Amino acid sequence: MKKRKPPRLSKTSTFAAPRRPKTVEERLLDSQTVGKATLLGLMARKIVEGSMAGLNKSPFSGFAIEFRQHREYAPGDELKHIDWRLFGRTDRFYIKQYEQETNFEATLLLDASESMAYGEGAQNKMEFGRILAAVFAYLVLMDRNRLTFRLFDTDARDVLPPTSNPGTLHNILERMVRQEPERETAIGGILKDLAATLRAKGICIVISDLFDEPDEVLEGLRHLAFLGQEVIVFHVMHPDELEFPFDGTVEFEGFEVPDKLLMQPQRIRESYLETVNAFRNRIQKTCEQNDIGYTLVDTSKSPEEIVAGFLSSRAHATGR
Amino acid sequence: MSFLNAILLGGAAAIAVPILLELLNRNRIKKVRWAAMRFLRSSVEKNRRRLRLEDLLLLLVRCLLLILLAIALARPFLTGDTESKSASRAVTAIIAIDDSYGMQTSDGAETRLAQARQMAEDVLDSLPSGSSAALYLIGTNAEGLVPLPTGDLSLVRQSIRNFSPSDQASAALAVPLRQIIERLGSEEDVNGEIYVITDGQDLVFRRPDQIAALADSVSERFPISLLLLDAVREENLGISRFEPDAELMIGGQTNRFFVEVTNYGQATIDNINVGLALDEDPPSAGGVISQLEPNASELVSIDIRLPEEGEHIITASIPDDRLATDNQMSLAIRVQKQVHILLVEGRGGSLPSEQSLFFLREALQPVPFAERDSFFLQVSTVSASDFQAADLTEGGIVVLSEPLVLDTATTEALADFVAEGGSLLVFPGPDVGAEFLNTTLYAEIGLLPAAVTLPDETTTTQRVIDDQDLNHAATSIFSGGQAGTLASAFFSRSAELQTDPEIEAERGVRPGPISTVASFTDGTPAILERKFGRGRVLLFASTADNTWNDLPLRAVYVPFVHRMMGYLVARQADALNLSVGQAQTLAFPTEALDESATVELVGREDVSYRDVQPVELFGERILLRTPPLTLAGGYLARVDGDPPIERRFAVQQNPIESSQNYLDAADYAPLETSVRLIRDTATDPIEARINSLRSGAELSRGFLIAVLLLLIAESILAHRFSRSR
Repeated sequence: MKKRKPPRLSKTSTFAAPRRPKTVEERLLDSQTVGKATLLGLMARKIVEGSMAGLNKSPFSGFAIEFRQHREYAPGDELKHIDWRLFGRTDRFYIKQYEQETNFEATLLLDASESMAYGEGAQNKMEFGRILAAVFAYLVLMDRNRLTFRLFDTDARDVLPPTSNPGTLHNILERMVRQEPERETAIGGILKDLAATLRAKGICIVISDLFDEPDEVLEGLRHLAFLGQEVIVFHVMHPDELEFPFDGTVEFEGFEVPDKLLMQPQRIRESYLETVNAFRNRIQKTCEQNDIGYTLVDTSKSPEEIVAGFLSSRAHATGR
Repeated sequence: MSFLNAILLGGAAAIAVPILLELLNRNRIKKVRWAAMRFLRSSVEKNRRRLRLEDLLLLLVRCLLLILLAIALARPFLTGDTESKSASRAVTAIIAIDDSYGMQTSDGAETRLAQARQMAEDVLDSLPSGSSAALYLIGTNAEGLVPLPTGDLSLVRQSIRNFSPSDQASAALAVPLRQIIERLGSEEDVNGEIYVITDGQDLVFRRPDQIAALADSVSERFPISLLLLDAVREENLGISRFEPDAELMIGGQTNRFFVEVTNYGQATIDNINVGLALDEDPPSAGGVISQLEPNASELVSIDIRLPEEGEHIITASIPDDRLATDNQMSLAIRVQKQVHILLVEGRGGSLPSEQSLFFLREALQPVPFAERDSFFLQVSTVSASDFQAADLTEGGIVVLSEPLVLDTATTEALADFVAEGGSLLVFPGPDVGAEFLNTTLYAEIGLLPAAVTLPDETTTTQRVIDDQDLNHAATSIFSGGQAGTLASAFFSRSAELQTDPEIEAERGVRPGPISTVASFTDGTPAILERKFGRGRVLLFASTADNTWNDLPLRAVYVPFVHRMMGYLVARQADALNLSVGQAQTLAFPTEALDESATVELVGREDVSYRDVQPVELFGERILLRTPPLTLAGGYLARVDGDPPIERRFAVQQNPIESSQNYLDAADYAPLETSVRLIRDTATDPIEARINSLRSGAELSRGFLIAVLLLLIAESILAHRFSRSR
């Protein structure tokens, strides 16, 4: 397959104040984030491994795998993938990346429930989720993989038909931005419903705060994994939800439920953190047990850091 | 439990304040829309019980704090040990202020008397409304300024502020206390709390057993509290003794005086100037004591030239210090050009040599006849039958020899004469009216020191005077044969001088103590002396002439007679010198009768006294009588006229009051179960102490401590509960 150059992106930082309203691309696809993500690439780890079954040792023998591109050598990369010829020319180490013969299907699930509305500015969970979803949508579509994008809350919203056309990216981004978090969450049910509809094995990326009954959430994730999907969970949480830094007397009013609590938050901080961490650890542990990729997304960090970190560790895991 | 400020219990309603604050603070509550409600709710549920307990505990502590504060401000108390079960019930307070001159000691800022006045006002301030109070001064005796309790406390307060200090010495407290109790006890409806305010000088607490017994006997009706000032020993020099060297003050001559100065303080004092002043003049003579150590005394002699005859005041003085009263002492002296002696002859006889007082007369004026009129001893003679009261001159000497009898008026006048300072010598003899002497002069009036039993006419003795151990001031000069040998005289007859104990036991005020001037070698009295009022009586056991003895024929007779006269003259001047608290009686001439005399304290700058009294006829004598005088110093009694008539006399303080010995806490132990002891301290006001004693144990302090502890507990709990958990 022909190597395609990535489309040129605006070099304007998403944090710079535009003189004109930002486009959805400018808003959600920061050039640095996307650039790094592109270099690292998103591969279907399970497919690669699945295609290894029954084959000889070389993962690439008998396989019509085309060289796709070079990327800079990163510590941990296998030396056998170093392009020595390029080294001879440039005195720098580069790794060869290959294009799979068979593209994968990716399902991108973005939680648009009201709980995702917490946070201000760049730390807003929904906005952060959009950025993550946008980057991964970009990565999938640029490689001509099939992408199914779904926004959900109590139900699936804006289910776009699967597409591998990069030109649909803008539409997808528009849908992301248009959907405001308003309703409650029912992610457990969403995942189960999704599992029932998927035919081909692929990557299923879930971007959510997972604020639902943990048992239902985990059951849904296990269901997907059991069906052979490579499930990747980006667990989005605001630093307030992770650290609970409140003092004084505070009245907490629920997003999704009509609930109010008046208290001195410092008096139950430890107990709250215990509860949150237990929840998170349970999710993480279950994901690990079921070979589900789990990444905690602290919205106080930059999307670039999250994406690069995830893709880099994933690249190490896949041997690429 | 009751409350002194019950109305402040309403402050407990202040527990509404935190509730109000809570309501007001709702506007300051931060509101957060929160996504992770399930986790928050879960944590709250898990900690619900703990949170509730903590909130309840804090609320309880805060409400309790406010309630306890309100109670503390309301001043709760447990019922005390008085009959007054409620602090608000009216009480009667009898305030007795120690006004002995030691209370005028200054600490540099104020005198103890000023502190005592303030303390007395504090007692008034402690009284609930409707109470009454009486006010006494106690020194030697109790003086009622407001003797009966009155509800007019402003009157009592004014009396406290305005009474004049006195120079009295302290009596044992039981004495004035008993006087107060007897005075008030006679009023049926009077019950009250006695508050004695004193500096705690040991003089006051002599015989603590008597004080305790008295307090116990009246504890139900008159419970006694002792309010003790915080007195310490101050640096103080005082004049402890002041006396003339000679007994006869002869005008125009230099006379010597002795002044003893005592250091009552704790530091050695150097270069003490001692001055002598005559009447109202500034000091004209003086001496210096180079150094005086603590608790030591030193005598300095000072010579001063006396003016011509008359009554004068000599005042000794030292520099000012913390106690002004003992920095001077005044002495009244009678400077005489001549002394008048009246001889009352009881024996008949046409020739002077036949009279019993012949030898005495000659001995009194042992000068040539031409010089007798200018001799300092002037003698006049009258027969007993012609003797009248008018013959008596104030301050003179009367010799009564072998009187048969005197009429009643004359006898009474004679007694008054002696009582007011005159001197009387009485000689028995074969013709004396024993009945008159024994029944009238001894038994009834008590003028004589003893009854006279005349010797049997047939009995003769050979008595001699024992001159080996003569202790009396009149005869001590002859002891051991000095200045002549009294033992050289033989007494062939002498009367028995015998006192009757039963009669003596029932004596009144005027007959004073009896002393032996001289005895015979067999121990029987030869000469007895009785102090009678301000005068003295000498009773001889033998005749004035040589009828029963040969003393007039002995060389010692003239000096003996002169010594007797000198002694009596000196004692007459004693009448011009009073102790603080005594009243003065002065004779005035006829022209002063019915006039007003001004009696004024002279020579003192720290205090003043001025009074006007009438000169009146008392019996057959024209006298000025003053009230008891409580200030020491020289006095001038003056009747205006042309020329004015003046008499001078002096009042001396008792130097024992200058000693600064104060009781320790342990010394009060015998009194602790009988009286309440309250000490004046800077941190514990008297008013509060009295209230707590009257109304019982006040509990405010305990409640305030509880409030403080609760405040600390609340702070700790609030901090702990608000920590991150």
